[in-house]
Amino acid sequence: MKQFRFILPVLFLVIAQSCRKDIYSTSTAVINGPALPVNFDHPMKDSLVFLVKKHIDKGVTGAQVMVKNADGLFVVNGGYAKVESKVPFTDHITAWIYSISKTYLVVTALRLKEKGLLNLDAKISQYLSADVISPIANADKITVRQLMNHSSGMLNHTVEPSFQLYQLNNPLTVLSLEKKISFIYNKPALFEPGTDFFYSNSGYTLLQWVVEKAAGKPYAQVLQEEILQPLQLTKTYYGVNDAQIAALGFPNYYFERYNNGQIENVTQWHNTIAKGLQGYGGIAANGLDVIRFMEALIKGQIVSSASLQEMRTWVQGKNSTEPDYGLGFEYYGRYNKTEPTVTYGHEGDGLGGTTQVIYVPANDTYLFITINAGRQLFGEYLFKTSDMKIDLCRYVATYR
Amino acid sequence: MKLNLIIFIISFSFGCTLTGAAQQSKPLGFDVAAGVQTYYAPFLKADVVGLQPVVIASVHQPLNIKNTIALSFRLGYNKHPKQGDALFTQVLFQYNPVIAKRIELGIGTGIGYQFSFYPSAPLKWNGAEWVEGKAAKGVLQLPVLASAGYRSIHTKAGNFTPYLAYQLNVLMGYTPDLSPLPSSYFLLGVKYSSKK
Repeated sequence: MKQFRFILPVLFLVIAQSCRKDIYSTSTAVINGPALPVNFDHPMKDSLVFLVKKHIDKGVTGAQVMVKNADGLFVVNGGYAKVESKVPFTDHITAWIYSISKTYLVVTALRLKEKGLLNLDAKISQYLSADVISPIANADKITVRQLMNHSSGMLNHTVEPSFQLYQLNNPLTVLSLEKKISFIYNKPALFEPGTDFFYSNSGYTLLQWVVEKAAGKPYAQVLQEEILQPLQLTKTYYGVNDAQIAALGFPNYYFERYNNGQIENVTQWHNTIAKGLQGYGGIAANGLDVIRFMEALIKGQIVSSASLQEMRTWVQGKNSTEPDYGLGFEYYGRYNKTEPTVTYGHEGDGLGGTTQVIYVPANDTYLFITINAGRQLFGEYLFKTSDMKIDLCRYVATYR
Repeated sequence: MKLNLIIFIISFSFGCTLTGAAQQSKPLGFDVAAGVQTYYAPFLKADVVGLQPVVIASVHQPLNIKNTIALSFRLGYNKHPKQGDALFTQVLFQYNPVIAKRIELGIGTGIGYQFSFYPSAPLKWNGAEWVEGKAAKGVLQLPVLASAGYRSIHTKAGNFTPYLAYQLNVLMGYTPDLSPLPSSYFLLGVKYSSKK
């Protein structure tokens, strides 16, 4: 046992060195702008404040909730944008909206369709080169619409183990879309196109390329010209760089690594992933801009009523537990056990954050939620953040 | 529960080692290895990227006269600045047939326990405020080892066998999204077995 006499001190030194602090923390500014046009007598005020506090008191790190309806705008900020320094959420934060970005991508596609530049029922092979789609099973049969409503049968690279291992090994590497899509190459399809539903970020990666091909421009430019400029969404950002991350008032992001109720600051890792999401999840915005986008969309100010109806034509998976899906919209109809409560919008999830935007036709209300703690498939924080979102959505969906 | 498992593994391995030594009078062997770690498994078609250093020290108790079957108690450390370091202990049953008199092949499997540390300071909600959390989580390991060595250095005291090894550790319960999580070691080591 003499050998352990030198091994143990070495181990002690290594362990002591391992106790480092916040390797993924990054410095970001706190933005305090002019006051938002909030109705401080909003009838939902007390309930929303109560619900946010209830979940913050259960250990959700921080959240921002915005509602807008005929009674005006109301904003609730709870918890911390930066837990370590106890910096609160403010009205003017910029937050990643993750998969809510898919709604924007679909709207650009619909705008191109209305201009005669894109045919939703055409095969994607009309827009994408053979070297891109030939390694993807059934790609020659898939239509643009099937990409948009996740009925293509295409795998999803973000749930492929090889992709997840790559991210674990390279947390600070921004992956190109070409590299990401390669994780589903030469693998069988899940089902024949148009016969079922499976949520696929890979499908929306191809959709971005279809949009770029149809428009003849990079997606960033299409997004600017078709949505952001016409609606004057000056607090919505795409292609976010490190300087913007430092300056735009992003919160820190927290991740529950081990499903043990403990979180860690993963801001830099989280932002690295978010920067690479591009069309299927790479937009960052202030919540008010997200609501303004949704409001313009619902009121027919971006696409025609016919296109909006196409967005609300729902596809239901045969055995899917996920919400029914339209074109860039998720359908939520089960917030009330006694009767359907129709709402639709989109959720978004990242390593260290989660978001949701919904529209409730029955009371003409828009709701936006952003939380800076990440969810896992079965982790404690999945339930904490999901419970908070469900509580808030149920309240707004059933408010009369 | 976790503490009991650790105590079990350590007690079991030392118990087997000492019992074996007492019964068979075969001298213990020693082994040190260093190499690189990556989250990878060959059957997942993953890329071998993001290599991080790993070191392992082992004690071997031969279980037969030919010295081809052994029980190993291993202690190792994997440095991983981005995903958190890992301190682990393993018990492996190894089969090491020798071919062409000098080439020592090896396969092994067993069980291990890993303290997975956080790369950053973890936080925990105590019901009123955020406080610093525990520094590590215990994770069960299911290791599988394949090696090839060359019995090339002979001294009066014993024999040294340099070897190359690939070890796949299946980590159970690391995180729900990645469970089991494959962690691979590519190792270069040297075994020492005493003649006395």
